[in-house]
Amino acid sequence: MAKRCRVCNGAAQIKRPKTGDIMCKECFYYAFEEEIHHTVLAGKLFTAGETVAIGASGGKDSTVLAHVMTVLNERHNYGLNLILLSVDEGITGYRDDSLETVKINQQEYGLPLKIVSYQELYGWTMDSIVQQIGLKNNCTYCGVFRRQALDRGAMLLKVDKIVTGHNADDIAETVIMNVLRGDIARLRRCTAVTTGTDGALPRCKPFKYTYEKDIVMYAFHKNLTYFSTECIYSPNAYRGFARAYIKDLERIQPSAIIDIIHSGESLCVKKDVRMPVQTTCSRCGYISSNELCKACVMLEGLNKGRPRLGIGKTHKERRLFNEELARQAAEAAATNCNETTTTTTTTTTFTNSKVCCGGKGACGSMGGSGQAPEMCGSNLQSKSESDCVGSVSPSGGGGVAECANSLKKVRIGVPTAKPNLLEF
Amino acid sequence: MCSVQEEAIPQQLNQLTGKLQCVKCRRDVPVVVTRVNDAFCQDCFLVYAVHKFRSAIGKSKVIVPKEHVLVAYSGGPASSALLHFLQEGKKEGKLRFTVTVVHIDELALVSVSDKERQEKVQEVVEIVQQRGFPLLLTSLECAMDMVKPEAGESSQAPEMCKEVTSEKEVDALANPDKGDKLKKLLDSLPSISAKEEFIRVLRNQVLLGVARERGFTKVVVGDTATALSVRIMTDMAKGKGSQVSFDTTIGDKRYGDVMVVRPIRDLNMKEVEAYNRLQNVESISIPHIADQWHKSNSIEQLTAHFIHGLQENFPSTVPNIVRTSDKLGHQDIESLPEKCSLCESPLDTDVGEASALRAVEVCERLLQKDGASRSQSQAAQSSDCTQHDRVAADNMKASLCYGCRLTVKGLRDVSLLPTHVVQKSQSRCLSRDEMRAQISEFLLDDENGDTPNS
Ligand SMILES: [Zn+2]
Ligand SMILES: [Zn+2]
Ligand SMILES: [Zn+2]
Ligand SMILES: [Zn+2]
Repeated sequence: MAKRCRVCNGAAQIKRPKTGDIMCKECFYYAFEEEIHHTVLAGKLFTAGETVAIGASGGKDSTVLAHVMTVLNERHNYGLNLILLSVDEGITGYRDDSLETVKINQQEYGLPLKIVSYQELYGWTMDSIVQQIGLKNNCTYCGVFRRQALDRGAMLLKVDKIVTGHNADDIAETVIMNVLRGDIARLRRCTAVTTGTDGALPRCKPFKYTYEKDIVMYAFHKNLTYFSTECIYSPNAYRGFARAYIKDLERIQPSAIIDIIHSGESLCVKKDVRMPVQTTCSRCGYISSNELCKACVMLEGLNKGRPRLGIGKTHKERRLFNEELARQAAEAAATNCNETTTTTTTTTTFTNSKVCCGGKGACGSMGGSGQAPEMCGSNLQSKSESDCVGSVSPSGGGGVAECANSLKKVRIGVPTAKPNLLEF
Repeated sequence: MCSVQEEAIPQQLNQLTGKLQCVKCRRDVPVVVTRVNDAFCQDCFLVYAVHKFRSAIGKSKVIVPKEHVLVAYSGGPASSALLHFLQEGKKEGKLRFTVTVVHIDELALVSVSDKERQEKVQEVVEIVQQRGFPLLLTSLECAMDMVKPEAGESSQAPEMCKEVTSEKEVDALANPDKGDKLKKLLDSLPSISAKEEFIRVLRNQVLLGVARERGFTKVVVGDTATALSVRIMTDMAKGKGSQVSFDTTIGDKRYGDVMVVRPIRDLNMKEVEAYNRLQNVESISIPHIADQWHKSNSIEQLTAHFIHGLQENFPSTVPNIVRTSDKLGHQDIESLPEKCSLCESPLDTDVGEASALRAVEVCERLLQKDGASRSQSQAAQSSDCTQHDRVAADNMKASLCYGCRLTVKGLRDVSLLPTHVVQKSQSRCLSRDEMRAQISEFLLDDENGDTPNS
């Protein structure tokens, strides 16, 4: 006896992984897409007329995301300009197939595609990084660089928003991981459907409530071309534990993933808990909770031939590096504060911080491929920038935000930056 | 419940003994390795453990001097250590509050004879008397019916607990009727996970019930850091994120009238077991229904297994998790939020459209989209009785928090739930009906057949 679809009563072809319901393909597609539509509407993810970059890795999540975004944009008249954005890490052979996949997707959906390379963004390919540091910590590099690469690439394209294929499973894992690590700041952030609204380019997760197994089911039956882009190196150990734990939970309680997300959403942080001040990297302008963002610290290490910098928070080398930086900056400040900061230096610096500032539409002139790596590399220590860093570093973390403020003031063209700097 | 391997400590000590001195006095041979891998000699460790207990009470100021508190004693290692701490404090004249112990007998859930049941309870009585504290006995099934007598009505409701003044008085506390009711309910809950959560909630309800009946405003429990880290993760896994803070803080104020106090939350299970060994503190092993469950079926046991495994490899696991919960807050209790009719936690279901809860509802709605008319006609055909049941189930669901909804999901007949819970859920919808009645003339209802013109 043929099974019947529980929605339309037609011939059923599949058992939906998320709910266990017997359905026909069409009803499954519709339910799958409309749930995502609800997430988009309820989370007020987009406004008509926006340009949205879809982070496209060629993997299943982003391939299905590109497909569903195209479908929903038409069906519900979102009025969005969709762009595919891919990152080429520069690993010989590794990306060739997945980038091919993205190119196929581009043709299928008729979406513009932009590929940005690590070489272009950082001045280093992953291959050249591995050459210098060996295989041991390259995942740390790749992870940090990849996280920023999408934002930096998106800013090149001057888009309004990025959408990523993070699904419910990913988010539940992240919640568990952050509880295990006691990382309250990330714990609070990780369940937000849109992140980076303050200053940085907003990132949305339309798949926030979509199960990975449903995504696979959808991709499989729709015959979507995707490429398995599992990192060839071992993933983060803690994430592995969290993933295994959730898989076990799901066997007991099929709704475990959504239950965990509900838990994550209903947490609130005590008022008196000090959260790390989210500020911008003093070198590249990317959002960061430290003076320098992790990518800049890592690049500094690479460029100076000390690649262990930035791996592990309290690593001795990093501490030494910070001290060195503070000393350099203090020296620079000492000479600089008494001089008149020339307008040219100021402008150069702030143009640069504009480039990576994360401010929506603020990034004007990030054009040439040579510029970005330079900016994040070691040699761009323009005077007024170090001036600023130097003046605040003795007072600790709290000062950084002020530093960023004075930067901002200059950026929007208030000419009185100098007295501000002198007050320290 | 926490199965910390006994042999782990001696093993580590073998490596340490002879090589190191106690980190504190730098003189004596260490006998205990605490979580931070500090090796303590016996004296220094005991000082350390007692200090952890006393400073938790002292610093938090949750217990006021001369207060009379209720201390929950299960017979397990943690609460046995707790009683010992209290006894020592009392001996030294440093205990500034008075203590009454309460024990919840949970043997109704296990197939033991009345005689065995009495013997186990007898063991509890002996230990508590040794410690020199008065004891109240109660049982888990008591919480199946905690309907408060109406004001003015002569108190016909059976007492929640009774004093044990001499050893002979330990006659069966068992209340066969309620015990059967409890067993029937547990049998109807479809999963181990639901059963374990229900038992936990019920245990809490008994403690609150006894405290309220006897006029206590503080209930002291023996949750260790290890147990709390398991609790935190279990809460997260079961959709009870909003309760993590309540479930783990030193002074849990969610109930308003009764506060739950956790004075040994800074000690982990290994430390408690070391304390018990060094002080010859006895604990009792009482058969429990959970013993029969396999860890792959119980979220709590799975979580405990997961955390103990991590803890072995990463000793900062338990402190990290507890630290997470220390930074978490909760809903404002002062604003008197509506509470779950089962667990009495503030409801966490009043969430916006962009939420996991709504996403689940949307998922269900989409499945029913075409089938809606069909199921409506089915409902119309079905008898009034099932209609009534469905309304009762909907009302019950609306009165529960997210986690408790999960617990009773799959329970066919919600009237099996404790009487006071059913009453609460009904009174909640009654008050909604009353509201509707009050404004009825302003409600425009097309289907109202008795309009003057019809
Ligand atoms: Zn169908
Ligand atoms: Zn940077
Ligand atoms: Zn010592
Ligand atoms: Zn509840």
